[in-house]
Amino acid sequence: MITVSDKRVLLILPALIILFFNSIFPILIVVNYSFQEPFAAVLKFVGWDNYIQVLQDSAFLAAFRRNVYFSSVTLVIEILLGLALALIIRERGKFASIVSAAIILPSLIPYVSIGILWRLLAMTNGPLSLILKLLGINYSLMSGSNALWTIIIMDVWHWTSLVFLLVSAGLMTIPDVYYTAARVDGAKKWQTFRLITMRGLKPMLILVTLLRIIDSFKIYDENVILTGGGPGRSTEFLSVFLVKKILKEWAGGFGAAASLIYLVQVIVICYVIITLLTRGRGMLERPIQ
Amino acid sequence: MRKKRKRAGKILKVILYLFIIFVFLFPIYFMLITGLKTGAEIETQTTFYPHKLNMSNFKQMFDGVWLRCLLNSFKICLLSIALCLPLSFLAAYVFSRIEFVGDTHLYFWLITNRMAPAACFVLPFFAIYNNIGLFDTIWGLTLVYTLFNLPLSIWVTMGFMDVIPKELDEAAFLDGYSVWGYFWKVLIPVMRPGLIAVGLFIWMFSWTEMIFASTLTSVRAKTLPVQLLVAVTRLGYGVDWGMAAAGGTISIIPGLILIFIARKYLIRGFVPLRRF
Repeated sequence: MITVSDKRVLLILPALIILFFNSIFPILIVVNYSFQEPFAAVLKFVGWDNYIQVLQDSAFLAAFRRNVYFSSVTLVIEILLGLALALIIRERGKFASIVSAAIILPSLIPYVSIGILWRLLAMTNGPLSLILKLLGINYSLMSGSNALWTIIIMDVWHWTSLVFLLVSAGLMTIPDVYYTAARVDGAKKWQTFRLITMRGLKPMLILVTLLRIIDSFKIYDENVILTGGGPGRSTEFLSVFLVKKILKEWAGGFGAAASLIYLVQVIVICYVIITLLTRGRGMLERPIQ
Repeated sequence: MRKKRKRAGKILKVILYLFIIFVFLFPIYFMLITGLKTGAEIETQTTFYPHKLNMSNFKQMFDGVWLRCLLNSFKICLLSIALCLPLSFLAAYVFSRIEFVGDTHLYFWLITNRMAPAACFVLPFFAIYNNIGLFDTIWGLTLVYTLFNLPLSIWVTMGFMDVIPKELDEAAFLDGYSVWGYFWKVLIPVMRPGLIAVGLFIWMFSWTEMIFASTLTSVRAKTLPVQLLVAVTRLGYGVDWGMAAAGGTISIIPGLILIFIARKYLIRGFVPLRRF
């Protein structure tokens, strides 16, 4: 029986110390800033003013709504598409392995380069507008709704690969014996899919849902490069909004308060999802052996 | 009849595969050839191969500021691996083997650091780094990256560690191994594929990160993604898309190499994550 008096528990300290300085310390600074006007000539305590300002700021609320919309749309498309691709390309063989390499590739490209790549495709004389013109659609990044949809499609192109990767890894863990048994028992195709494949994939789908929600709430790089939040504010998501406020407008107190609200939002959303999906068993649940 | 249908299905599948390859590789191909075009060709027409080959964009990648950024990116990736891999190994060992008061909460807190949007930390790090002289240094950036590298790598390492039975520990200690001797001679060799996967994750994050790199560096420690951002967003000059495309192409290369050499590790790296 291993007890708490075990000295090996100290091995966790290096990681904890570094994370403490990287996480708790900055958050304390943000909390401190959020109650004052940090870049003003004379420091003064302003109480909850910054928070009230953020929550009444129409641009912040619009960015939040936009981000929720963006995250849900991309989540649904990516999960369905990635799942379908992983199920189709399940066989072994040279051709299938080239196809899966092509699908995985986007997830290993720096986000900035993804932005550049799609900017090149979406340029006035780029292939995207050329193809869409053939279909009779007038396309331009200068139009708000077109820009928003370009970001959504770019995100799908970028991150379907992650869903594909994780679902493929999940499929590897389902033993072939299950399928043989199902065939012997005369199970229908749909039954096999629902009861064996989907059940085996469930933990992976939970994980990938979580990862995608976390990351699509953080979208910044591609957003900045592709549209810079424009035209107007039509594609401004939370991160872009925040960085603009802090580094362009030097709104320190406002930025700090907005940072905290944003942070709490994301963590609450994730906590709710984890609790729902693991049915409240938490994250350190050890397998029954 | 049945044979015919099977053949039709096969052809359909080949067409589908080719279509998938096209969708995922064409944009990358287009970026590569844009880097090989002359500026006039990019601005004035849509072409699907460079009519006049122009190597100067790619030559500049290995010269001056671009080369420095490329090397900085490499250094930061290697330093991150050297720093995070041992730390996450030790932490994962504790979480996996020892139960202590509040371990679940501590673990959840660790993972929330992976969830936190980087943009929320821009302001405090900017303030801290300006005051303690870590602004625009490679070490500073490496240190910030641990904020996101450590949670994920502890998470993944945990997954690999949990599969190894506790009895192995006990048997080794009975045989007279010290804790460090056990790590070095037994546990690390057993976990090597997992640790390689964790290293790859750390590499990919550090290679692609931009929001911290762009706010915490200016000249000396600038990384490749930041230089790309600068190339695309400099105001008033008109963007040199050829250069941006060449830089973007260069930034893909490590990922490309990983896919061919280490895809096995990459996919396997995700397997233990399924349980959390």
